[in-house]
Amino acid sequence: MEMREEVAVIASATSRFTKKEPSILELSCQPALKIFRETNIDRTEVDSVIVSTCSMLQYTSSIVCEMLGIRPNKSCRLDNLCNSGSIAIASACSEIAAGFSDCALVIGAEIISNSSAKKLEWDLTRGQFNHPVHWASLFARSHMRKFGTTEEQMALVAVKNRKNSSKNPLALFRNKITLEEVINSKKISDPIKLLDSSYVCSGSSAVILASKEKAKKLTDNPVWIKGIGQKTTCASLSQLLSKHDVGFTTTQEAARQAYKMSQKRPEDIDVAELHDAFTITEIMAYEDLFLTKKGEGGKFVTQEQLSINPRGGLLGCGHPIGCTGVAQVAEIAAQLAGRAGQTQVKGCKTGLVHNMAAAGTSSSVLVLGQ
Amino acid sequence: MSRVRLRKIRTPVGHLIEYTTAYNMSRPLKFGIVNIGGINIIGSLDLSISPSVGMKVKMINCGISPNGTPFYEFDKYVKRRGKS
Repeated sequence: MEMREEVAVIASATSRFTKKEPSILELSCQPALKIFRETNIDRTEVDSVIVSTCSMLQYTSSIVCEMLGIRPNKSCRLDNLCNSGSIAIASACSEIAAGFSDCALVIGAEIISNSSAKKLEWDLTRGQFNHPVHWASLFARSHMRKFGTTEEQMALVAVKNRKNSSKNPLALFRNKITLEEVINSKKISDPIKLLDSSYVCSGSSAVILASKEKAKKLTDNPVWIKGIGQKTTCASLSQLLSKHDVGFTTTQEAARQAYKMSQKRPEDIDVAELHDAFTITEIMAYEDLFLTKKGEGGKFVTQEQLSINPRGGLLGCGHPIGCTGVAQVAEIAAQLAGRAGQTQVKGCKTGLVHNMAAAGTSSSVLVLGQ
Repeated sequence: MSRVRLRKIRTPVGHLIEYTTAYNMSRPLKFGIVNIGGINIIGSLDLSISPSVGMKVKMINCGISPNGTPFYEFDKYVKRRGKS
């Protein structure tokens, strides 16, 4: 597959992530208003709006459009749990590539109380162990058993990402943590501890995508979506975690697609946003995105060639479920456009976003470039 | 729906794929993912057993708890001896 029409990210903004409980509608508008205030993009340019959220508020996207003063041809809400945001971006990209839209606004927004992913009650095969930490701990145990991954290696992921988030003014957690603090934090589900886990919070992010022609008109600094890969295998845990494979097969397939479409290789990636809902998921993502060999994710944490989760990831920034994928794309676009502020990775030209949902039953991978 | 099949399993015996201990329940609970006839189910493990990957386990109880959540309980499978 190849992109029929070039699509660019022409603007992005993200709100401060918090433990507060603002209105989902006002929160949705915040980053979009920031874009319209700080760029030359007029809201009349927007002809498509997608709001990514797990909120069950009816007609969210049209209400948000009215609040923003936008009259698009199309608006809709999209929910696919933690993987909502990147699917919303991919959907907007598809519309532009197909000629249905020239300029799309994608908003990701979540407030703590409507984060349904705290418990996966619809999956009956998980029984009473329906919190995401339960599948994560089973994956972690398997990874430790098969590849010798250690609790210290997992803790290093948390230390790294919290160090990064300490420089990010929008992050939920601004304080650094030590290896000892992670190791000695409260046990949740062995070997996952409190500081191995991301925190579900409130937050919003917005990205404006445009066709090549529109991008030329509206910005001097576009970031191009070079490749998209998506895969869904199932919804329930009943078909996951075979005795032969400790990995997210959806991530592997989505990565293959995204690398192929973008004509990039794993070694071309300079900066990446990985779905570190738990420390073990970042380690597994290194492997499933082919950044390192299977089983060597634990040792990859300390590598220095590639900047991973420079804004602090989900562990440092927090995890507003429907917003996360949009915030990840916003961050990589900002990195490649050279406007990432204190978290800027110098000289990055190619970036990757990895977003997934519900024990990796669905995944999205996007490759972006200058 | 063409792929949905109902099967009655006479002896709910499966293999333990992975296990660990949860501390975020009302009390620490050993639990694991068990493959029974090609379907993976997560359930609690009897505290008296020392689990190991690949161990044969039997579902000894299942149902719906008062809060509406399903539950499954497993114990080590011991093959009954035939009558002499």
